[in-house]
Amino acid sequence: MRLFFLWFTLLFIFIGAMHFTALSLMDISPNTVFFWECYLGNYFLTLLLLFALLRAFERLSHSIAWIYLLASGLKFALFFLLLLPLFKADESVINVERFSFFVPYFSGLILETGALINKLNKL
Amino acid sequence: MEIPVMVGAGLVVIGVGMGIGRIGGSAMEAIARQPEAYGKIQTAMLIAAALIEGIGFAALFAV
Amino acid sequence: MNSYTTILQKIQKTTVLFALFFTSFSLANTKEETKSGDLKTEIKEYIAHHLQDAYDFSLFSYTNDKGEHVYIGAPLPIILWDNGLKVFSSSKFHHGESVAEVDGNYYAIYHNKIYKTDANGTISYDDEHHPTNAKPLDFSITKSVVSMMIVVLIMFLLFRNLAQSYQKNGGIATGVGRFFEPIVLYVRDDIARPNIGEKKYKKYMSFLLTVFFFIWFLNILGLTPLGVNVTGNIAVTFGLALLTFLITNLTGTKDYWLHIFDPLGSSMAWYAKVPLYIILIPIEVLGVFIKPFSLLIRLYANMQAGHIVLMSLIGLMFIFKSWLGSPLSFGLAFAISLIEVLVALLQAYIFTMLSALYFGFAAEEHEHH
Repeated sequence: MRLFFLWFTLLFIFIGAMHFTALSLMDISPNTVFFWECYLGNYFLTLLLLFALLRAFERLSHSIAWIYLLASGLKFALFFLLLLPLFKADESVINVERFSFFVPYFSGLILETGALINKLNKL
Repeated sequence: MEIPVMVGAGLVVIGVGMGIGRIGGSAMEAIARQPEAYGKIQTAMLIAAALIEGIGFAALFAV
Repeated sequence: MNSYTTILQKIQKTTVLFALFFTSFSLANTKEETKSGDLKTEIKEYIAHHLQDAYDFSLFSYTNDKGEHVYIGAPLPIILWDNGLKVFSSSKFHHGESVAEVDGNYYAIYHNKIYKTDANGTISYDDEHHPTNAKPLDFSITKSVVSMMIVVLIMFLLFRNLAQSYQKNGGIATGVGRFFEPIVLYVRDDIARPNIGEKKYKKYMSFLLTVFFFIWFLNILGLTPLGVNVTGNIAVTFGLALLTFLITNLTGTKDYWLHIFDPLGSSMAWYAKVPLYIILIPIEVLGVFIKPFSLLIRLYANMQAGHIVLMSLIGLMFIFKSWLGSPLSFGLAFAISLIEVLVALLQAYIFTMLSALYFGFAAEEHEHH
C-alpha cells in the first residue's frame, strides 16, 4: 500500500504542476486564487480519508463503501464551509477560483474511487 | 401560472397515461396468453406502472 | 337476549357517529350560504387547510346564532424549546385566532407555524412577505403525531394478540387472524422471498411487515371523516424512505457496492474504464439517493392527490347549487372514495414491494468463479 501512497503523491504533484503552469501562463498569481490552500488541504484530507478507508478495510470490511461515501461528502462539506468564505471575501467567486478548488478535489476523488474499487475487488 | 408550464405538464401527463395504458394492455394480453403466470405478471406490471407514475407526479408538482 | 342488546347498542353508537358526520356537512353547508361572496377561494382554503397538519384535533366547526365560531374537537399539547421547555395546551391559541401567553412570552400561529410575537401578535415581514419573527423549536404533538401514535398502538395490540392467539391455538389462526394471516403470508411469499432471495429474506421481514401495515392503516385512517392526512405529509414519507435508504446501504454487501463503483467488472482494462467511469459512477451514486427519493415522492403525491380530488369533488356540491349538482358530486365522490380504498392498499404494497426490491439489490451475492 505504500506504493499506492507514493503514486498518489506523484500524481497529485503532477496535476498541481500542470495547474500551476496554466495559471502562470494566464498571468495569475497563485496566491490570489488560494492555490496552495486548496492543494495542501485536499492532499492531506485525501490522505486521511485513504488511511481511514484502509483501517475500515481491515475491521469493518462490509461498510467500506458506505464510509467512503460519507467521508467524501464530509470532505466536500468541510471545503464548502472553510473555502467559500475565503473565495467570497472579495465579493465575487471567479471561475479561476472555482477551478483551483475543483481540480484538486476531483483528482483526489478519482484516486479515492480507484483505491476503493481496488479494495472492494479484494474483499 | 405560466401557460407554457401548464401545457408542458399536460403533455407529460398524456405521455404517462399512454405509458401506463400500454403496460396495462400488455399485461392483459400476457395474462390471457398465460393465465397461470397471473401473479408474476401483475407484480411486474405494478412496479413498472409505479415507476412511470412517479414522472407524472413530478410534472404535476412542477405546475 | 344479552347479545341482542349489545348489538343494538353498537348500532346505536354507529348511528350517532353517522349522524355527527352528516350534520358536520349540513352545518358546513349553512355556513357557506351565509357568506357566498367568494365561495371558490373558501373551498380552496378549506382543502389547503385539510392537507396540512394541525395543532388541535378538531372534527368540524360551525358558526352559531351569535356569529361565533364553535369548534368540536380536542386540543393537543404544544411543546416548544425557547430558552427552556414550554409545554401548554393548544386551546390557548383558540384555533389560531388569538395569541398564547406562556411565562411572559407570546406566541402566535401564522400559516400553520408557531412564531414568537409581542402581546398584540404582530408579525413583521421581509420584502418577499416571509415572516421575520423568531421561530421557537417545535416538538409539538400535532394531529399527525396523534394519528401515528394511535396506529402504532393499534398495530402493537393487534399483532401482539395475534401472536398470542397462535400460541394458544397451536398455530391455527382464529378470529381476526384469519383475515391477517393471508396478508402476512403474501408479504412473505410474494414480496420478500422472490425479491430478496431465500437465504436472506428473514432479516428484512420485520421492517417490510411493519412498514406495510403502518402505511396501509394510515392510508385507511386518512379516508375516514376524522380528516387526518398523515401519509400525505412529506415529512412522514421522508422518514419512511430514510429508513429504507439506511437499511439498504447499511446491509449492502460487497457485490452491491461493486455494482455501483465498478459496474463493468473485470471485462475491461483499467485505462478503458476510466473515461466511462467518470460518467457511470456519478450516475450510480446518484441512483442510490434517487431510489428512496422516488419512494417518498410517490407515496406523498399519491395520497395528497387523492385527498385533493376527493375534497374538490365534495366542494363541487357547494358550487353547483342545483338538483343536478349534488347527486353528481356525491356519486363522483363515492366512486373516487372506492378507488381510494384500493389506492390505500396499492400504495402500501408498492412501497413494501420497492423496498424489498432495493433490499434485494443490497443483499445480492454473485457466485465467484
